Amino acid sequence: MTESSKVRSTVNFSLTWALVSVVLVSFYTNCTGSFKAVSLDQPSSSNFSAGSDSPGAGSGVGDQFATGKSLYNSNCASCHGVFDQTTKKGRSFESIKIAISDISLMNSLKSLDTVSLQYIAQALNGMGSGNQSPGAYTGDIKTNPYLCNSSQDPGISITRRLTKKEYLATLAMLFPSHFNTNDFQIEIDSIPADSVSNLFSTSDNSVSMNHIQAYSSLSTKLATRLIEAPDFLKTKISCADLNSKSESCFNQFINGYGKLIFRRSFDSDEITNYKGLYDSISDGKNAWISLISAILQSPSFLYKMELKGTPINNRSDLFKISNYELASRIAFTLTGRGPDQQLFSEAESGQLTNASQYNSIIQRVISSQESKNHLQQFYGEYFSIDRIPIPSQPDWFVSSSIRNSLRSEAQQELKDIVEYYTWTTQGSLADLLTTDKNFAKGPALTSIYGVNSDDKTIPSNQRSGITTRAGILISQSQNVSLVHRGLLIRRNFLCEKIPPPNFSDVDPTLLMAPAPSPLESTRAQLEKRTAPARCMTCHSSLNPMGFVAENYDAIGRFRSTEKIFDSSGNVIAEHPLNLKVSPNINATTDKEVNGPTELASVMAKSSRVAACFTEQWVTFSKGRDVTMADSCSLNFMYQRLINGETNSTKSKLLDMFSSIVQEPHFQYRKLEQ
Amino acid sequence: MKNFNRRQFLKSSCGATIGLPILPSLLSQFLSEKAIAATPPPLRFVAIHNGHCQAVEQWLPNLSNINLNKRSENVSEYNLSQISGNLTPVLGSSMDSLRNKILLINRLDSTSGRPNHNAEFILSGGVKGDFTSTLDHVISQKLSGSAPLNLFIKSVFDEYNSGASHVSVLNGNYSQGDFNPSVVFQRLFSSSGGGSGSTGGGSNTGTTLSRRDLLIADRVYQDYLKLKNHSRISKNDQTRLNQHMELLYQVETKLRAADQSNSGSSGGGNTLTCNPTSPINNSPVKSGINSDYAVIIDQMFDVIELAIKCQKTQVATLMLHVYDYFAGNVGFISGISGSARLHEDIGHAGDENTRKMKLALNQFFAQKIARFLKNLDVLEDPTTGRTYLDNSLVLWANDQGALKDTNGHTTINVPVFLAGSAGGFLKTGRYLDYGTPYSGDLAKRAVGGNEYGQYIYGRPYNQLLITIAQAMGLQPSDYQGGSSGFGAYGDWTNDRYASVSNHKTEILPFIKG
Repeated sequence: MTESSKVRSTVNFSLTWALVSVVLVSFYTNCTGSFKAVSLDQPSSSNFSAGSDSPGAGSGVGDQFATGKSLYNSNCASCHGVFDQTTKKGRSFESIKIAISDISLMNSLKSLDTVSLQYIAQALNGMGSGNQSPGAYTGDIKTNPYLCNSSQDPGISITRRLTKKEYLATLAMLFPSHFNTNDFQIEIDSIPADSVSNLFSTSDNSVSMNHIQAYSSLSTKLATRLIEAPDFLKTKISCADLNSKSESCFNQFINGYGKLIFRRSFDSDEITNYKGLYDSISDGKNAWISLISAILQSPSFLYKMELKGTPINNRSDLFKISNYELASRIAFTLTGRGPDQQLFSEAESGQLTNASQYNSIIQRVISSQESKNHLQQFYGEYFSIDRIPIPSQPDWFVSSSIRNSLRSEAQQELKDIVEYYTWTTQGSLADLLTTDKNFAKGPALTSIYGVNSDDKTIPSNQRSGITTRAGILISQSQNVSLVHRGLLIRRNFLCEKIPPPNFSDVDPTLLMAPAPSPLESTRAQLEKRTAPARCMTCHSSLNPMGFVAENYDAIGRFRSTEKIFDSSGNVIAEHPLNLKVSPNINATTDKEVNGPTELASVMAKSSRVAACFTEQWVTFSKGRDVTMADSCSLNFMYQRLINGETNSTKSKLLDMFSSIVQEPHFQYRKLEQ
Repeated sequence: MKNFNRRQFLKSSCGATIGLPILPSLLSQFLSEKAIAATPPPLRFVAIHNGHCQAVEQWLPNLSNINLNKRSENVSEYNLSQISGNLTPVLGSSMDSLRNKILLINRLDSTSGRPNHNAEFILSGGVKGDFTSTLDHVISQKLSGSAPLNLFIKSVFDEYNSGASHVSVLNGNYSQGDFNPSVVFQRLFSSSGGGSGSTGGGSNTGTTLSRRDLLIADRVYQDYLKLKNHSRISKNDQTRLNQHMELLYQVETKLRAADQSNSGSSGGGNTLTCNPTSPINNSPVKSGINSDYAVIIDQMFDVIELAIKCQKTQVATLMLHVYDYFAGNVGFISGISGSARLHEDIGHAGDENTRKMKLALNQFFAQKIARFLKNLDVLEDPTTGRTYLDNSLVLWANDQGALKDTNGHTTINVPVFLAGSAGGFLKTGRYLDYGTPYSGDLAKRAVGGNEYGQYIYGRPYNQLLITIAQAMGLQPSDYQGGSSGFGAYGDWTNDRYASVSNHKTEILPFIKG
């Protein structure tokens, strides 16, 4: 490039940038302050753009990403490479800001405003993966990391198959007296379990022959039970004699309980189809069995279909969902099953369209036992409670009586903690992350924590919060797996997607866990082993989270040294512990922490941890990764989670959970292109 | 896109209105011995995977007292009957009575380093995403028009089972599998059940397959058809619903065949008493008892054996455990002690003690597989004298191999064990080495080359898959997806195997009978 062309380019860029800045600054706002407590009317349909081919089209995921990329290429590429090959992948908003301030060559970029920097950071954190991180973390929990453009489209909604849990819970709700899981165990076991993606089992949308066969056999068996049950005939079909077929009975069912099963009213084509089935079988009982079985195998039952909404601004890809669909969304999101009769009736009578009624309905639903069970499922998968390893240490390491009850006690403790802070006291995320309340009841945990079951607290200088409890710390062997401890924190609490090592070019011995050595601590061995740059890409994040918790042994006992044992359990060496790490949570704002209690304190104040908690709930609920298109929803929900940080309201976990059905985009469906 | 004109079919076969009570089971349960004798027995393929890093020398014969017979520049063989003592450390004496029915193969390699705990490698040569479907699906589709029986052992402690068989991939997705042998048994052998394989027509478990099911399936299908074309269904959603409909259609096809068979329109059913005398009930998949792992493995093999003998399936896969850091403790196996996590403590074993435990684990699997093979090795075809095993091809393989003294994730020299000759297609009873012979001391070692620098690459593993495909009667056009070869080929294809001619078009040399 010649000098003159450089000048021209600079002038052109400056003009362009000036225009972009004006547009951006006036167009984007942080929505935090603008949302009402119940934002049923937010955004109004007029907020949404008229469509991608219309003037003034809204800024979707691609637009935001493109904006960030464009800003990067205009301002940063000359030093750090073009965007697609940048050396600054993953840089946070805060680190960019500090670099601009501290590095003289970058001082000229001080003119870039906060919004622009956030977009650059977002793009740098999302490129190439297809999973753009919607957050631009500043480190401070009070700063909402999600930008919201009020005309932005919602994230997409795909047609999802009911998960196995949702399917079974819905049947149990619809037929409480007749769907006895013991009687249907063979059929239930025939339904494939949902595959777990990252942490959650809710994203599996696959269907196999085993599904089809199981749905068929279960539906017909259940339908047979129902038709043979006098109470069902009386209350749900209202026709005493099923042997003789009757059109009025058919209509009564289709317009009555059939609707609840279907989660909406049948349209005329559907009635014709199912009436055809009913009519084609002369025997009354078999006609009813066939009808109910077919409905239970229909797409409207097995899938979350949302096809009845009202188009927004005449767009073919954006709808306000119908009241029936809204009731289903609420029910599946908060209770993990279809709507019950009460919620369904409220949808039918239009109560979901009234903001205050909507709010009180949500409060009732989220206070239900079903909702509690569903949120416990979320916590169970989020904290990997079901995946706590089976302790298998030798007797010299831990007595068999403690070992045998440790896992179940540790699982129960984690469940009790979330129960206590989510429902009993309606506490905050910080409570979860820093609590020293004693929940240990059984002999294993009280022994490990050194407390009595009636003690109010556990030693706060040893433990702080859920990440320091046994359920998070247990290994299967007597050797602590530092890498896996680190992985759990970074994946579950910081939402990092850590890829597995690239095995093709690595000396395989490097991939083995270091054996405890009398010569060197495990930390020292691991630091040496992961020192090569190719390892540090991930291990610079993983290792600190493992090292910082080294003062817990393989079953979570507090320790002050790393003891090395021979095969009989004799101590042959002891290594001092070094718990000092830079946790690498908020990039350049991080300070060194010394031990897990300090780390817990940092995590409790970190926007990244709070944002991750929010994103995990959305991921679990929607059955997909969050994207930048979810940023308005996340913005709203994040604010609910940290309410107490910015005003006098108390922060409540439950507020964040319920906010997912109150956030502005909840009632809209954006069609996948 | 298939032209599903099933409404017409229903009208022609069932009439517009069908009177019930339900007809008795429309599927005949029995196949006639007479019919069997008149028809050549079908070929079957079973693939078994046990996972995790391997010490390959444990899988190979001790060559110190053997002079291999050189068949060509890079193929050597040895007759297994001439090996004194144990065939290999892993097999011990468990397969001694089957020596003339097995093939041990050395030096088949992945064409890339991608496979890493990817069980699908054994039926694709690669990793999900790099190919469309695994060989089990391709073979099963060709032989019977249905899906294979995909089974996996869920660790009794693994409450978080993934639901996927992992060995098997169809159209880019892991196939769902079964982990409960009693459920599979029930589906295959209930009084009215009896589909072929996991995709068979046994859409009802414990109830009666009937014309009623056919009518239900048809109406459900109509419902999907209407929704699928809705303007608010996205392309991806359409794909998902299409898949659901495709499966419904398969069920309906089976029901239709059963209905026609029962009504005599297709010439009546087959009748052979195949009534398992020992039902598999109450599999202890949730007992939480470590040793039940062994019980379930036996039951899984029993289900496959029965499915083969009763012609319920021609293709089956079995993954012996789910890859998971938290997989169960296998301390109940003789020779395994201390912390006994399947993956971390044994799979990645490096020192001498844990290598012994790795060997003990594989010996445990070998004994289970030997039991299965012996149960199959009973007369099936009096005309030829062949057993069920002879008419089958059983592959026991792994996605990971390793050279001596290493235990990491490496796809070089993966262990391959074959049993059965696929109806005489393969010449069994041999050890085959597909690499250039080592010289000097290295020639006498089970794994000739020791560390990376000394290993001489053999042939792409994919050539074994081509061999299996052809052994099962498939033509190249049946398994090639637009280009020659089968499965996934990685970056090393041209570097390491440039001198191996025709590996994408021909079966492994000297393997045929």
